[in-house]
Amino acid sequence: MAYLQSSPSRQSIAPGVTLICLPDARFKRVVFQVHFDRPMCEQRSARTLLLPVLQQGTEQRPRRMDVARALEENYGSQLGLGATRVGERHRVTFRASWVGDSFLPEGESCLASMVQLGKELLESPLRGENGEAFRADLVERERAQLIRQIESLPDDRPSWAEERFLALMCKDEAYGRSPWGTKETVAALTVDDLERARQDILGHSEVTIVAVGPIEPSAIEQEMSRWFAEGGSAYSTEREICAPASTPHAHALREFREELPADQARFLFGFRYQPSENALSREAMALAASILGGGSQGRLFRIIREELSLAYGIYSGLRTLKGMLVVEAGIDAKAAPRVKEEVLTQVRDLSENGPKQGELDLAIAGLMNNLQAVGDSASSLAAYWEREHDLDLMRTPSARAETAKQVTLQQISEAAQLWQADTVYLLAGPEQEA
Amino acid sequence: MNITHTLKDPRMGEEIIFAEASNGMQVAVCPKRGFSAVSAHVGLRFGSTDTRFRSPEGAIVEVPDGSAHFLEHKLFEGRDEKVFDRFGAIGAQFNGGTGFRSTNYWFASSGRFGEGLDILMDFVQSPLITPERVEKEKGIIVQEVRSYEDSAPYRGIFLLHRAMYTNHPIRMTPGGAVSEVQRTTADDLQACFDAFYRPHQLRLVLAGDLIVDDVLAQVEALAVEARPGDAERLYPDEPTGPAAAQLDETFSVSRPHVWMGWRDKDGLGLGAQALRRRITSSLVLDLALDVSSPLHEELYLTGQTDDSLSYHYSSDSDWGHAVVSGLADDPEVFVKGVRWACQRLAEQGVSEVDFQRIKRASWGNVVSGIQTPGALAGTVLNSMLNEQEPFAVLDVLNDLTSDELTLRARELFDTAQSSVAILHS
Repeated sequence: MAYLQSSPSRQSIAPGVTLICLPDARFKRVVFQVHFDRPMCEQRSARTLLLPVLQQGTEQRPRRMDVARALEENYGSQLGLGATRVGERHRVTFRASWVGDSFLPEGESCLASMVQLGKELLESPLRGENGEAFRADLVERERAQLIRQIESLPDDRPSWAEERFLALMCKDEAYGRSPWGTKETVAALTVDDLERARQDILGHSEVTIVAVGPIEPSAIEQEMSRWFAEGGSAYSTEREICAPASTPHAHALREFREELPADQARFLFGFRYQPSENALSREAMALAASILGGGSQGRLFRIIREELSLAYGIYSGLRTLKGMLVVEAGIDAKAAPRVKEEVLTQVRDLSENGPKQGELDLAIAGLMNNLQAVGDSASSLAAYWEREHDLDLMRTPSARAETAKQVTLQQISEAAQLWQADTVYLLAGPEQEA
Repeated sequence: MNITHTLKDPRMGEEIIFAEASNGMQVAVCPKRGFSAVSAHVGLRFGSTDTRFRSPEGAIVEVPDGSAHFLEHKLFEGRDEKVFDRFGAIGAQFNGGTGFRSTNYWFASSGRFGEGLDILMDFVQSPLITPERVEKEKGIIVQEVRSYEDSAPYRGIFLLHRAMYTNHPIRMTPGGAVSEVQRTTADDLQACFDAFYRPHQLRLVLAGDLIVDDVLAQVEALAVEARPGDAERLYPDEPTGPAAAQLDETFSVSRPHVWMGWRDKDGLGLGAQALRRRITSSLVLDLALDVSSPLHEELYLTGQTDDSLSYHYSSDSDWGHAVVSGLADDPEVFVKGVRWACQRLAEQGVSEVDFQRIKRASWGNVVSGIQTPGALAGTVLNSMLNEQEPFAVLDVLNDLTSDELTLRARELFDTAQSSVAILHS
């Protein structure tokens, strides 16, 4: 089977609004996402609280139950609003999926009704009875729930460890800020703050729309133009393109230990590097990370799990937009110094001596398989092209495969030389030795 | 290779060719044109609950908890070369999983699928289990088990299992306790392999853009010699009612985690009846507790539950239970509210309007839910292991009535069959 050679259509349908369409009749469900990107600024708490508030109902469907029932009537369509961190952007996403027309009874189609539901959620929220932007009781309920969720974050030890690690490693960077803010910032929000955040999302954010699957691109373009282009309800000439994420150089190696009751310690080790503009160097960096710890073929897995039995899993991955390499594992706290030294040893060895040819071959084989499989699901295609758009590269899997095949042992070594150890973080139980 | 029958489902747009190898292994091939990856899933009915059995040769065998999971780890070590290395060399993705009653192994590859199939059939049929290899793996498995032990959802569900069941082995976690892992021997694992990993017990599903005759010929060539005979699973007697009304445990959580269960008095075996019960149970849970339900709305608006509420139905041949969970500042309020909603549905019955709406949503989700070769292979394997016709869920949906759901709600939401488990800080 060949690598995917075709690119999706990518067009600007209004200032700051990009539409990416990839029709593919093999899939039964449409993957449809509208991303609204804003900086990771103080308003992120308001955006985070706004999203559950918007999902409580609309002017036309005043109860959450009404929205849910509309989705069930629409053959089990799904939609949701969420916020996350993408580089140093705060990304609010309206996400939907629905059954393709060819699997529905004759004459049925979900596209228009799903777009309508999305517009209702974002543009026609439930207002207060006395002209308030939102119903106060509803905001208080969702605020209380969000605060409880923030308080519960440490219960998920791996996620909490990662969040704390990022906060410490990227202390003075937007990337180190949590996407939801703090309990205090959420508690201080007013109804008017939420309305300002809603208007800011619709009027100022950089918008990327991704549609993949059994779609008719012209129908999607028509619907999205009606929404975002001139004359549409979300048309704006004030959209702000987000700045690229900062990629600072490493500090001298810092080590942090925090404690929470836990049977197993969480270990994270962050490195910095300066991302290259060169296509070959980018692939070399990806392959170097894979050789270090990209999976069961990685050195860290082989040594720390298979030879030393110190971890069930240990992996490394790149945060490409930020120029970071992160190693992560669940270990015995007392093994942390040994694991740290082994990571440093392997990074040093890769940079000084490069990989063995067999290691490079395995990493390339894995990458080739992944690139070939990109085209096998609508969600992986959407994720692939969304990332390429974020990087502003729009490389086809075929082009990436061709470039990766040219990477040499020397280029892997040069990529590893760019990794500068920055932060070691350990979250362990109070009684555990380090 | 003997092709036994073909199943075509135009609603799903899928086709499955079923065959039987000369050693008795059951095989299904699902052609999916135009996809790059080909997936192979092999599984058998042997899981974490099978710790006491009579071997096909007649010996009574008892092994430590977690033995099925430990064996899965050991199979991945391969005989002469690690399975990781062999799959890695062809760039394939792979993994395995151990459930209460089954174990499965899979790989997916976009090229060199034939080599991958060689590897899969080799390590699943011909392992090398030695005391040294078993000892070496213990550290890795202990780390895996400990990572689960730190998870509140994992702790909570097994606390609930212990409340619902008195003797049933689903009280135990699939990985087993650390002490059980430490006492596992090579002989234990070899006994499990010899008793259960017999070719006629294996189910193999292949999905992707492949040539049916060619792949069946390859499977036949890889089939090891038949080993007739079946192990008999020896499960303890289980009372029909719950073991405890409520169990509480202290754990490091910021808010109490609450788990509620309603257990069926017994299982329905495998096959069509069990599938029907699973579908009707899932639908009545949706009707009581999904966001589209007025009962859910009442609980949510009055603060008795929040968005942490979730639910599912789980079953196998000899058990079935509904589980509802959530985080709650006041567990009593949560439990009372959820019980009220479930009871209310049972008392009011399922309206025709609600039934038709939820049936339409389920139909859409089923028809479009299986899209990739991997998802198709996994679904078909699961059906085969449960002795159910793949895609029969659509037939059940077509055949259901609102009255049947009402009856199922009344049967399922029996307070006398319910238990509660709470993790407190």
